[in-house]
Amino acid sequence: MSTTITHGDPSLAAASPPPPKRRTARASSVLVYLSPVAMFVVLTLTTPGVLSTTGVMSLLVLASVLGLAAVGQTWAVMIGGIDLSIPATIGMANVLVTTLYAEGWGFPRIVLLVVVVSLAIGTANGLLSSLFGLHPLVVTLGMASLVTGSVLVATDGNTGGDVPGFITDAVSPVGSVWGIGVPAAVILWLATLAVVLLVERRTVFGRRLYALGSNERAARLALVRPVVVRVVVYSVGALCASAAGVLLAGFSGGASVSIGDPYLFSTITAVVVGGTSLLGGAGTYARTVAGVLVTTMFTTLLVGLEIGPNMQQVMLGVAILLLITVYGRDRHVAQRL
Amino acid sequence: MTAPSTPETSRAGWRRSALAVLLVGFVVLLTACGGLSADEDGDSASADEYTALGTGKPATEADTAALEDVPASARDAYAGFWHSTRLGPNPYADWKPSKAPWKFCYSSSYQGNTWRQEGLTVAEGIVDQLDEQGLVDGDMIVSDADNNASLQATQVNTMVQKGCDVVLVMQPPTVGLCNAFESAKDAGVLVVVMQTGTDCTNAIQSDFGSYFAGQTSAKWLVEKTGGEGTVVMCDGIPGVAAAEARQAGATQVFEEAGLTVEHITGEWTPSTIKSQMLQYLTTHPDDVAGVWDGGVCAVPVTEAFEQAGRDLPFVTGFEGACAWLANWKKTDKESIGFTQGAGQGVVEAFKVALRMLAGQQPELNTLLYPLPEINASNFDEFYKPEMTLSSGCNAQPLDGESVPSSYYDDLFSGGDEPATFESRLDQLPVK
Repeated sequence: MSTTITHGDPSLAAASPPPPKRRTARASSVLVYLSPVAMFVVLTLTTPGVLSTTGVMSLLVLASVLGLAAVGQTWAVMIGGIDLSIPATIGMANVLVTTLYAEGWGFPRIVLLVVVVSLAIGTANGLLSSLFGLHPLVVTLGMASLVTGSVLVATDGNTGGDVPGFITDAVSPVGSVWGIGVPAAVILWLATLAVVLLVERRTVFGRRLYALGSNERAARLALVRPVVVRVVVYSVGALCASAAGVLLAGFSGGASVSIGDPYLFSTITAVVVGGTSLLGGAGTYARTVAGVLVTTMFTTLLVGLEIGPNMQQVMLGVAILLLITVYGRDRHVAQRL
Repeated sequence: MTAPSTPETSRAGWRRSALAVLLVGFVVLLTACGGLSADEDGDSASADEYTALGTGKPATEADTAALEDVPASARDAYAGFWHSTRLGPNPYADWKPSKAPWKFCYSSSYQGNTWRQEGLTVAEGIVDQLDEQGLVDGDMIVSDADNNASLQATQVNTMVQKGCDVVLVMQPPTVGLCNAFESAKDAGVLVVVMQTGTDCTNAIQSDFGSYFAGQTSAKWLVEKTGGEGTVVMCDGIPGVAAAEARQAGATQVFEEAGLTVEHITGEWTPSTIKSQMLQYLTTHPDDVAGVWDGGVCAVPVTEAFEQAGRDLPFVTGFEGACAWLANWKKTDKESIGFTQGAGQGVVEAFKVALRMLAGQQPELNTLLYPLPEINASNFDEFYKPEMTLSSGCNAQPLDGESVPSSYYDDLFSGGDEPATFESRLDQLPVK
């Protein structure tokens, strides 16, 4: 592979200030990570009640479920794809946990089954989009229909059940873990965040993730196997979506195969608001976390300001458009050279 | 700058035009088949005879006049009807029912939850009983449209082609099926829409009085709060007629009582309701006097109050879910609700259909009935120890039906005695 792009004297280039586009990118990064702080300030100024421990924990519990669901969407977008099967996977895990627990299954056994099914969903998504060259949008849409339909066939639509008490406690804003007054769902999200960022930044797989999203042909020449990366990405996404589904069982106190439906729009919103390019090859889960926090606080702010549901939709749309106009205009990595 | 025209670009333009013509032709064909229509107006021949759908709006003169024409024995259930349905003459007035046996068909907009499954189970049980009386022709055809209006319209058309005499339609969208209903009516098939309002005036509707139910629970809340403080209304899906109707009923009561009203939008989804309630409580540290339930709200709202460390105010119920009864038992906080299972809606729709098959004719296109109330005086009769906070079942009417068959005597005329059946709602599993 040859490169004909030159930047003149390298030492000179190093000494020069960064080019305008790179400065813009850095500014947008700063803006992304400052936006949750700014939103929190606005929220506390307009609705002081948020500053209570319960208020903050309520926000973090809501953010943790969305944050877990958005892991897969972030990575799928980073490799130039999208995952429309996340809501169905959330619904699958939600229904399996409640129905099987009501039938007397032990929780570890249920978790094992959910993990196996999630891996099957992720593997199928990755294989189909790689081996047959199908766009992930179509593959994951079909998978969503397959998963939801299978759950309905298996349960005959009777999706009620029972929820383990510790799952309910895990998503309670007044819940705690080992005496620390932080709900288990928040701890799980923070642990997931640490692992995901470690993988992105410190592992070979992380490099391959960006390489595949930047240019698949070049990645292949660099001995990256797209099929493996895609299978891992969609499997991790399905596992995290299932974790969100299990937590939602405790949160809502019951089961519904469509419980994950709101998370299609909200996970994509979190990724976009975080500034991860939908074109792939760039971004990070850390940005999505910022997007999750901003959207959670923004919707809370709208409730606090007693804005009606229709106007909430309008405001959310305006906010998304504004934010991506400010820092979401990056070109694809391959076009920046 | 305009690109110069070449033979290639001309051919490409011609191909695009041809493709556009083909697409338009395809849409016209679909419309002709009754699958889709962008311009439905129900029964176009007599649309003016019906009141307009006025979801969320005050009554018009026509609405008030139509309400006065409703028999006095049923008028309460028709209060605020314009929020969810159009009222007018029976579109099947000239219809002559075929002789038994009849083929029954069941078109559901969605079957993916326990509530919908209950409706189908009850319908199958009733058809089995009618079959034992020699009144049924073959198996009941069942379809699930997965919330796709055009698919449901196609399914209704298919049912007509397969020789159904009666099509019971469970909770179709407010608009989108009028052409399919018209085709069915033209083919002599009776269409009965259950458990929701519709903009179509060419089908018979069987539904409960949503507005009246909303008023009833709101009046209870006003009484319990002493008419002071802030009431949070937990609303359903915005724009859905059934949700808007019950909300309009409650709003009127709260406004008259002078209560401060605030809203959360739960969209009939427990996880959304709990998120919204937690967000509300986080941003509103002041006391809440009561919460009005527009559907599915009572349990997640109670959990939100408990987990936010706030005192639980009076919270109404609505659909009489087993989980709500278990919640009432657990918190020992008095509430009010109704029995509103899908099964009892199916029972009322069959009563209407069987009367019409017996030659009786309703005066109106829409038959509304009141829901049985669950309150402190009869709570013990509805609550069962096996009900839990995760139960998916619904409480059933103590008499096995929402209203006695005699309720319809003032709403129908002519014809013979209809076939009868047992609702068997008490045999539905409590889980």
